[in-house]
Amino acid sequence: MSWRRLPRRSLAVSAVLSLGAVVPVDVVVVRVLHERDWTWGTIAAVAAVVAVLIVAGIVAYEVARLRATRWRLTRERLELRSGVVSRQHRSVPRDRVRSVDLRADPVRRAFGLTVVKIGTGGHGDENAELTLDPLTVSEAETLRRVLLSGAPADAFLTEDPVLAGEPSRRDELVSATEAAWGSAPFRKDEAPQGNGLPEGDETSRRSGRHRGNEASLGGGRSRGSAASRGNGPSQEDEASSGHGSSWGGGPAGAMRAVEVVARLRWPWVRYAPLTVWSFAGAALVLGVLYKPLDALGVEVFSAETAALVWGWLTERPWVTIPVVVAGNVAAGVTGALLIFVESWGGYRLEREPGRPGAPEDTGPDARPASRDGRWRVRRGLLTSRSLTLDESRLRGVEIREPLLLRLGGGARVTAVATGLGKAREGETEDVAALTPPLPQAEAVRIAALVAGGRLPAPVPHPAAARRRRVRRALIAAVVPAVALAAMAMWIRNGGAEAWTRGSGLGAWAGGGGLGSWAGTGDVQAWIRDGALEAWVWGAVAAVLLLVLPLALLVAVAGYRGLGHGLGGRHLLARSGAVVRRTVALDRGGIVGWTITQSYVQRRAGLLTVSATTAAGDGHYDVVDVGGDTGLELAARAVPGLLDPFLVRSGPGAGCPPTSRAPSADAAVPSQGPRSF
Amino acid sequence: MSGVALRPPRHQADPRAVSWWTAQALILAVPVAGAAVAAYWLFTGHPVWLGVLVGGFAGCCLALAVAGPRASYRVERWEVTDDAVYTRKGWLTHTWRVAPMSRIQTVDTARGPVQRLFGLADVTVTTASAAGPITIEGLDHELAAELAARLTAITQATPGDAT
Repeated sequence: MSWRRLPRRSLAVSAVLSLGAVVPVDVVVVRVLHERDWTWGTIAAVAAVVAVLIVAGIVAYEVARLRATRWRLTRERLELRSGVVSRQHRSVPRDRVRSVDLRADPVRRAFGLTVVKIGTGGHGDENAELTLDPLTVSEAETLRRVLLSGAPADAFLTEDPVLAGEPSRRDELVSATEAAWGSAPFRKDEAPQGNGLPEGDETSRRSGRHRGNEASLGGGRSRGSAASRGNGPSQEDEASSGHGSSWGGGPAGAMRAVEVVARLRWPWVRYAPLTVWSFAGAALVLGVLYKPLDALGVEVFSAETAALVWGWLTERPWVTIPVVVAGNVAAGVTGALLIFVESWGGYRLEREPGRPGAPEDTGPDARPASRDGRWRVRRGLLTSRSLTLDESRLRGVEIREPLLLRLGGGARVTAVATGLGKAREGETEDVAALTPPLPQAEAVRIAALVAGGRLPAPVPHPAAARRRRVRRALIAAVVPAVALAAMAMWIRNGGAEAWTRGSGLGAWAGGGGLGSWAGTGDVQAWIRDGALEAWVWGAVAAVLLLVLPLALLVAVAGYRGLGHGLGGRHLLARSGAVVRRTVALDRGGIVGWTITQSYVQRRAGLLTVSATTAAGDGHYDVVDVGGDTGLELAARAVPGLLDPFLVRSGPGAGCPPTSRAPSADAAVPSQGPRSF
Repeated sequence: MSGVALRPPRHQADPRAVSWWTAQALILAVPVAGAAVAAYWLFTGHPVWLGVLVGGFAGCCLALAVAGPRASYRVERWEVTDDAVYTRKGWLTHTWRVAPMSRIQTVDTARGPVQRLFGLADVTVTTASAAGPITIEGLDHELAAELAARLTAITQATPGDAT
């Protein structure tokens, strides 16, 4: 394929977006000039000139950027030349592409454009991502499909392919050779997105609706008519294989349906407020509004406002404090709901089948052995986002249950995948998020589907792990309590009084600062009255009555959260008192073990087994597992890796280690270790 | 009851590593202890209790600098088989690490300035994981080079991108 430019419509987008910079600047200009008693006519003229200059500047830069940017897709690589000032040429091998992320804010959406980010693995460095900002929706969609199709390299023509066949007869998943670049014949589909078909029917649905969404997103380029909307699945299959030039060619080239695994159900919105942000609502709102208000000359955090608020609060505390708390929570809950609606409106989790010819089984819990499909998360009410993950880059799945969500019976699912970046600035969701908060049972169902097999049931950990947590909670609460009580006794025995009179440490501190403050008469009287002592005893009581039960609850919850399991394909590790995380890690994705045993763990017969992996956090831990169980677990999860380093004693000694079905690429030959 | 335990890896660091670690620790500990004593001597009225405190602190610093490396030497062990790299570290918290040959991405040797005086080198083995590389510290530099060459050869013979 020859070098391609970015679409010119991008200029219009940046013109619109530059208004975002114009508004605050003009506000400041108007304020300043108005203070200097300029006439309104002059002010308007100056503001207009400023606005035109800003827009022109930004558009001019965009013109330069568009001129400087070229990209192309060849048989082996995706190449990008860019840079206005310093020229760059970046080239990514196609087999390195692990995820494709499409993102279109409302402005770009209106112009039928979308920003494409291509993830290539690597840990958070700049070069892990290649950004095409923007492409037309149809280009982006074709690129996404071709990059992650697993198509053999020669299935892609190096020249712009010719439009073939009547567009209306095309299947959505036509092969890359057929899809005409730039003018991809995406058919405008009548079927609106989410037209109320029953969920169970999703697997048999063709991808027409999928494309319909693209068309309504992009609009512009779609052509052809929806003449053949009535097509049954068989007809569409026939249509695509009839074109004959699909990857596999012939009948094997027939495309399978896109399978919708989950889609948004509005009742899930009830889980949205179950985050800590709901309690920090007003503070969050203030934080967001601070800058614009400041630009307008409203000082939020000045001494006067603080005094005003304080006076208002202390005047009638029994009325104002509940009002403030309720207002805070209301703002937080509203914010959480709005964010949920914006982030997850139109949410769908889909699995696109892989290369034709691979065996496929679309039963609800029987995932095909071949892992060459793609997972796609689409969401966003205003800003539409689409993340496509290559299934072969998936190393597992994680179910996350933060405390509040867990108490509400909800959970969320994230992917453990290689080549996913960190969350972007201004983005409310984790990049790897596969679902919004949803009911636990649903989360488990989706997790099992994504993981590609039933998740093993977690086995609880030994009681020693609970004792350890309870002991830690007791220490955390009792040590401060004892220290405070000792301080109270010291005050009662006149220690504080003597100290404030300027002996010992007070004198050594040079008579300044703390010493002189404590030496004043008021403070001494306060201490002599016993008021200080009463305060300290109050703190002791608070620690024992509030902190101790809370710490014990967290300890018990932490123990309950512990668990591990080994399935045919996955190692399951669960832990976390506040945020409970259940990770099912593909055994084939384990690239090593780290086993740690602290002094306390050693005495309790526990250890922590940590599976290292290229995906996600880099390591997933089975915390505080019994020593024997943990080592056996590691030995069985990746057969042959740990066995040479284990010594077995007791009745089982001498027996070969029990190794269960090895996963595909973990077949490390277990020869005897040769010393080096 | 059948017990399972990790056996210690076969090899220890080069005995010279003890001197190297001691030298390294002393480079840090001597100035700290010296500064504490000097501050006591110059800026205070020499109260006895503070003197005992400062003396104890300085003594502890030096004792740690001398004893720590010896303890590390006994604990730190390593082993490389045809299939895996296996190390053990840590005195209070034991840490064992295993990385299969098939998942090793890079092998590096590194020699610091002090280390060079003692003829030692570190071998660092990186896997695709963000959990950090495995480092075998304080090997004889020729042994380290040989080990790195062998690891590289084995790793290159393994197909795939080790993720």
